Amino acid sequence: MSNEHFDLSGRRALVTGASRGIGRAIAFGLASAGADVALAARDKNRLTEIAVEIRSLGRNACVVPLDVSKLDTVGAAIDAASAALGGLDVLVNNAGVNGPGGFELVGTQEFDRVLDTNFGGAWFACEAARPYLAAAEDSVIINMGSIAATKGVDIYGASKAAVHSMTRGMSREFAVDGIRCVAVAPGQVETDMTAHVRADSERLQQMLAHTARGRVATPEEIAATVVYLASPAADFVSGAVLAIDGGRDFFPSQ
Amino acid sequence: MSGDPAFRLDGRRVLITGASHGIGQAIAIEFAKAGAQIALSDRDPEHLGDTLGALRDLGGEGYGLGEDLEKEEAPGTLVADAADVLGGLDVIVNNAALGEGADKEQMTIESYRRMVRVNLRVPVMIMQEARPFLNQSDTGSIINLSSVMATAGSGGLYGPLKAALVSYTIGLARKWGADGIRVNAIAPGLIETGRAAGMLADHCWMPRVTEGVALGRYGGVQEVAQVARFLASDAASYITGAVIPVDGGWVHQY
Repeated sequence: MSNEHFDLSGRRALVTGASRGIGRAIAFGLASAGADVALAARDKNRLTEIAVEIRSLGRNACVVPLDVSKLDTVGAAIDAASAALGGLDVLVNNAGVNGPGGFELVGTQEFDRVLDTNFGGAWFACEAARPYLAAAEDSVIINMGSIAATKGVDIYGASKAAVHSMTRGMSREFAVDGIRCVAVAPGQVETDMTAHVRADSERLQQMLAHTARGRVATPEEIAATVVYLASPAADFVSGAVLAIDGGRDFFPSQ
Repeated sequence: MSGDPAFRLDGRRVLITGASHGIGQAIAIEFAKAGAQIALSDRDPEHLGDTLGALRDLGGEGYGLGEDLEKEEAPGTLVADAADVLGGLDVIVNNAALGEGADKEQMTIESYRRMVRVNLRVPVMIMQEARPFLNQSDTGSIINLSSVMATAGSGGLYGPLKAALVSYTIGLARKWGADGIRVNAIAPGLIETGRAAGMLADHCWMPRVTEGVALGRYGGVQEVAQVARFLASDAASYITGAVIPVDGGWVHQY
């Protein structure tokens, strides 16, 4: 297998939640593989810094301010990204927020905030991006799931389960337009979003004891999988939800 | 089955949402046969006439509660009213759901909100509101109606939201297990109700939808109801966090 299987030269990608953590690593990963990248997130200043770095790699980068939980603004952001890059081949729905962290009664606003950010925003991004992706060759949607979906972790896990199911459904629905749909389901990753989990050392030790690899993932490891899924090497992969969790199990490792 | 006391529901106080027709109605009838006292809800209390009549014919007790689940305060009101008429709550059956809208191809934010509210937020809130009552019960149990489309993906929002409900079910089972509350889900396949048959036919890529079913036929609503009865009964006392497919063998074509 040659490197061209993993080459993304000339590909135009949009990454939501690109200002930090996994999204930021994905943006750099795609650019390093040759793609031009539209960076979407709420924090415009951070995106501008990342865009400068990506341009220094010789790639085109643009900044699209976006809060995906504001569902009525998602379509315009997709339009802007596509206009700036001259089309769209890759959509990475990465933006996400934590849930309330327990199963207590949450208010409807809190419920909607988590579900809209993690699922609704991705849903409407897929719909808005569909015509652009359909016009491109070998286009792909990559959604950020989570192993929390299968473990059951409050509204957060529920929203990610919805993402997994959406991915499978859309892999069929969007197939007529030649669009692949896949998802990655990370376990514990070293990001700001989950820093509070690792700060609880007892919880962290318990988690690591249930992880075959015995450690936490780096954002770059998740990004590497996303680059693979965006590449020609993954042309036959669609509807899949790929767990990148270091081998998380229900039983403690030895 | 009704002869064995482990399968009886005598004296159990049950709330069933969406019980005017289809699977919800069949569950109400099956539970009444098993001796349960039942509070039924529907948007329009007049729609509950058939079900309440059937319960009366069986010599059972039923209370109709008109509650529009799309209203913000509905889950709290419904649980309080049900606990009031029944003198407590032992079993919750989250059955009410909205089918895929005609606009699934071009979802409006408004129809997204309706789908999320009725198919996910309401059952989640009902479970949360019911917790204090289930805590006081010796036989606390929740049964959520999911769908085969949760795993398969539906092309619309129905499958993803049913997947989210399953994820929440699993998490809640873990969280509330110590209090003796069991939380399970049923994933029906092709059941002879207008909604499910229409939706599955709509999404199915096979010439005859039952070709995807090992048993080669539609299921009856009572075949789902009997599984719900089992899950609510002492016969299922060691079952929690389970998702039981009732789909005649929703086997993948090879």
